[in-house]
Amino acid sequence: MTGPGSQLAGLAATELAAQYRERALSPVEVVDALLERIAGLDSVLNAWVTVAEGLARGAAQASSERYRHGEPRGPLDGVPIALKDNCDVRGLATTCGSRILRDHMPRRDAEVVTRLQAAGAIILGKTNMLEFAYGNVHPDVGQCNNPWNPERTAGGSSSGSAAAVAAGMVPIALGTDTGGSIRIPAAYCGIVGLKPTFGRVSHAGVFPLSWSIDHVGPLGRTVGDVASLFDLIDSAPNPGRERADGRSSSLRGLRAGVVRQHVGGVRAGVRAAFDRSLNALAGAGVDLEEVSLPSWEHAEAAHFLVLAPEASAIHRDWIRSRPQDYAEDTLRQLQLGALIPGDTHLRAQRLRTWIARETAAVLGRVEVLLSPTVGFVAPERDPALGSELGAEEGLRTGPHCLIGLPAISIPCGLAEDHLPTALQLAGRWGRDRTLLEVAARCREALGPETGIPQIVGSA
Amino acid sequence: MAPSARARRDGDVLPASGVSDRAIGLTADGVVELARRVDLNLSPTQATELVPLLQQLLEAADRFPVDDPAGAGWAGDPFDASRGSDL
Repeated sequence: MTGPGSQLAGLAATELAAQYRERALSPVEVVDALLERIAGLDSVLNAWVTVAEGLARGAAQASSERYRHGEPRGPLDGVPIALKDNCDVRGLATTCGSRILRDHMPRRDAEVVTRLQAAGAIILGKTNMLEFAYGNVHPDVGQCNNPWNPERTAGGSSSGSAAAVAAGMVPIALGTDTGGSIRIPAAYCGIVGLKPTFGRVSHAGVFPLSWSIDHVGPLGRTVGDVASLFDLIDSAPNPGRERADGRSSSLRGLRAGVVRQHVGGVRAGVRAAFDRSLNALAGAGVDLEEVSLPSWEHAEAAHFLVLAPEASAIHRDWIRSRPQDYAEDTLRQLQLGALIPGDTHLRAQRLRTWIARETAAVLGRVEVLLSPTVGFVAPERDPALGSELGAEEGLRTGPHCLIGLPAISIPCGLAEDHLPTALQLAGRWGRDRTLLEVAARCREALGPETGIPQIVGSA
Repeated sequence: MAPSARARRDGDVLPASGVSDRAIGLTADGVVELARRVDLNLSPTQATELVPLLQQLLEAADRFPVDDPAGAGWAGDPFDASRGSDL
């Protein structure tokens, strides 16, 4: 790896914390190095909306003092984190990648931010995102580019969070996922992204896209980092019970279902990587079987019919008073949502129940569901939700959002054009920690990580 | 104005955001009129772009396998099955 701050850029959050405890590194040194790396790379990637240099340096100083006195606040004290720019931090603008909220200064912190700061994590800044997380780049903000090839998109909508982590500008980040917006950019950028069970992580202070489908979740370069960050933001009242229920750490005998509806239509390079992954998992003792979820064939339409009216309700006033301030495609989607008949919306809500029940029956037989996260590698531009490519992009990630199922994307090798591919695992409702344990074992079984890419064109 | 696929099939007219399904009419003029009823100003160009998208969604919803009002697909709330967690 090369580039500014490169010596520290490849360290995982858990490795940084271990070195802080050993006094081999300090949070001040790490923040300095990462700020230097951001300054050197972001003209190419456009991953950051706000770099909170002053806030981060102050927090790093305080954290370094705590380590000096042997009193860190928790396992990730002093670890820098990026936040998607729909997440409120008092004193930093929350723009949501839009012109409409360009100058919006929140008066309080999101609940996840309060948790992170209480644990000593260092907020390094706010990251680029598709406008209001709704599938399109606003031209004022511009596309976030992929560290593996800056001519390609980092994906969306948590584009900046994924790109910043993948490029080693920050070890961990938060994103939001309403149809794949954590897992899709994680897949395109070759990192790990978790969409937790619906309601498991607080949405308070995170600008909504769709109240009943929004999820806040972590991104990182390793499953261990994602699990550590999830521990800080998990609001389950009794997570210890899940730990006690957890399966053994071995993959031997794990019952995994390959979702028939999600293996068709996958591009050759992605399919080859997926098949190699299944072989590796079978070699590690996983019992694979094909499972069929016929209701999922309707999930893409149902997902949009639930999401779109909710999004349009949120934007009700602005689409009437400030239509010119939206990106063209975002406005079209919001107008469309306002015109969906009520009975059609309710029909989609009813289908949700149907899909959830069918999925629950399958998850009674198998412990995890497997599929490629996306059927292709990172395209040049983010496809609009209503387009054919847009529909295909979210095909394998939308159903989990619709029914609140936890799902994680892990890298599974490179495909055509030397771009990352990803394997998606979905687990049982509320068993997020079990899913993380299984994902960690699967990631080990898939062989070496791909690491941080050389970023062409950086200073 | 062409009625939606569902209205054609069963002759039913259900309330839809305050506007009947039959009244939508999936033409650009119909979409402009529907938008006007919810205080949304659409240009003819914008309306024309929305027609196929709206048509696609209405047709997709028509194919949802939830037609048995007494069956399991109609019972409970959308997250019924996700309540398996004891956390």
